[in-house]
Formats: sequence, C-alpha cells, structure tokens
Amino acid sequence: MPNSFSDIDIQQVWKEMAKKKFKNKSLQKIEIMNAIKTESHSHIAELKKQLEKRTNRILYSCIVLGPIALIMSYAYYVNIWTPFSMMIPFVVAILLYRTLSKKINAFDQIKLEDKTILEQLKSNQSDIKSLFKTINQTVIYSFIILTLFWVIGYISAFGTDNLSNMMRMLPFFMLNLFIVIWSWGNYKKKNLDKHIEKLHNNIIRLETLS
Amino acid sequence: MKDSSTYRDEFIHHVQRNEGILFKILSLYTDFPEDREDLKQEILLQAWKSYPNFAQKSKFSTWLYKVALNTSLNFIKKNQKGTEALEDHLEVEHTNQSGSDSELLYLIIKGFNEVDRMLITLHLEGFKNLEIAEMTGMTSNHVNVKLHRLKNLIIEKFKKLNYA
Repeated sequence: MPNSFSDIDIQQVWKEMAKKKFKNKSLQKIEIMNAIKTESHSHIAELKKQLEKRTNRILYSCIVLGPIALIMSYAYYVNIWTPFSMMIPFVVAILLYRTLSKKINAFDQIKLEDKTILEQLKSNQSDIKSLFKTINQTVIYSFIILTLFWVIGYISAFGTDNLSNMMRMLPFFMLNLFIVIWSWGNYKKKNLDKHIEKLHNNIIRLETLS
Repeated sequence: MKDSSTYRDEFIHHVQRNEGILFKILSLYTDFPEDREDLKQEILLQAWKSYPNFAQKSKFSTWLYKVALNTSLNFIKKNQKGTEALEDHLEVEHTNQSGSDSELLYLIIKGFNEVDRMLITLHLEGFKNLEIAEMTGMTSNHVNVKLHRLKNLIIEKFKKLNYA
C-alpha cells in the first residue's frame, strides 16, 4: 500500500530489499532442530546461571566448613553459646542460599503468553530489580545477624571484661562488609548494568514520543 | 492429541514458511555473524518454548514477529560497536554501495534505535497501526505519531543521500 503522503514508495523499496537481500538464504530443518535443543544463551539465562553458580558456592562452603565448625565448637566449649554462635553463621548461610535459590528459580526468561512487548520488557525489568533487592537485603541482613551473634558469642564466652579486644575486630568486620558490597556492585556493573540500561531505554522509547 | 514429533515438525514447517521474518529481524538487529547466529538460536529457542502458548488467535507470522522482536529487544550483542559505526558512517557506506534504493533504505532503518526499527519494520511489513499498538503495547496515538516522524525522516535522509 503506497504512502499517500510520500513521493517515495518506501514499502515497495522495502519489498525489493527483502527480495534482493535474502533471496539466497533458507532456514534448514537441522538448524531449527539444533536451535531448539540448545540451552538459552540470552543475557537473562546467563545471569541466572551465574547467580546459581555463586549461590551454590554458599551451600558447598556450608557442607565443608559446617562439620569442622561443629567439631571446633566442642573442642573449645566454654558454655552453650559456643556451639550456638559458631553454628549460627551456617544457619544464616543456608537460609540465604534457600532465599536466593528460590528467587533465582522463579526468575524466568522471556514469557510471552498474552503480554505485549512493552509489558514483557517491564516484567523482565521488575524481575531483575526484585532479584537485586533480594540479594542486597539478604547480604545486609545476614551481615547484621552474623555480627550480632558473634558479639553475643564473644560476650558469653569471655564476658564483658575483654570488650576492647572485641572492638579491635570491628575494622575487620567493616572491611569484610566493604569487600562484599564492593564485589557485588562490581559484578552487577560488569554483568547487569548494560542489560538494565537497555531495558530501561527501550521501555522509555515505547512509552514516550521521544 | 499430537505426538511430540508431529508437534515439532508442525513448528518447523511454520517457521520455515515464515523464515523471511527471521532473516529481516536478524539482519536489522545484528551487525556481526557471531551475534546473528546467537540471536537466531535464541529466537528459535524462545519461539519453540512459547509455541504451546500460541493459541492460533493470530497468524503464525504475527506471533513469530512478536517473539523475534521481543527476543531482539532483550538481546545483548557481544560486539557493541556495530550500530554506532553504521549510523556514523551511513553516508560513507552509501557512497561505497551500489547506490540502490533498497540498500539505502536498509541502512537508514538500521541506523534507527531498536524500538523505531521495530515500528518501521512492522509498518513496512503491512501491519496496521492499531495492530502495531496491540502488539507492542504502545498507544495507537503514539504509533501514529512515531511512524509519521519515522517515515518523514526516511524520506528526508533518502533525498539527502540519494540526490545529494
């Protein structure tokens, strides 16, 4: 259908372009078969895989270090708080693992259904944002809980007389917190910011006349 | 109830009949063979995974366009410099080309941002503005305005580059 407002029939030119450019191309059955058998390599799928790998490390660390901590807590037993404060980090780590795994598993790829393209992009954006929020929250809460139990464990084992010793450990905790936040921020910047920015820009373009 | 191989063959048959859609999208949304291959695999995989949801309310071609465009808008190219290079050197490219209108149109559209590329492609493929609005989630007023602007821009560039 020619464009009434135009002296150039863009649609006709487009048809010619398609005819010329793709006349020698064809999609083989084997190509389709291979493609539908492969795993997704989309950015979201890769992100999911990366996060799964990282959260699995939490579980593996617990499996290896948990029994050691249990033995140590009986070897250096002072009172009931000794095993309790030594095992709490593992309980927190397992809870962290479970929360993240659940969130990552629910974080699916492109779900088309009856959604429009804009709705789909928004849904992907909100999935990613919610995943980030969960990760940030679990890291911060875990850190607070671990510090709290470490203080309780320390006081119960050594009393309040040696509080200055405990305070000396504070920079070590702060450094750890800084490293965790920095590495997550760095990972996010390197792997995800490009994708988030692209989603955001395309949503804006679809929603506005800019 | 269809068995799985019949179901798969039916999908392959549909895709092969509409392969032109795939080639157009791949060509417009990627600049390098490596990205093109990745995007092709991803579109086919997403189409296959979503195929059970294809309720035949719309034509297969319309549905495939939606899957392909959706996947392309989520796709991150391995090589990022392609599009900018294309846009920056549109004039140089055109001078070096055979000078055909169709090649020039292709280069102009490729220089647009991803959403504009999608809109103009759907329009040139014969979708009505209302259908484009339903497919993309944009308001039909936005589609009308944007398409009007894009077509004017194409004509302007066409005139500038072709008849300069």
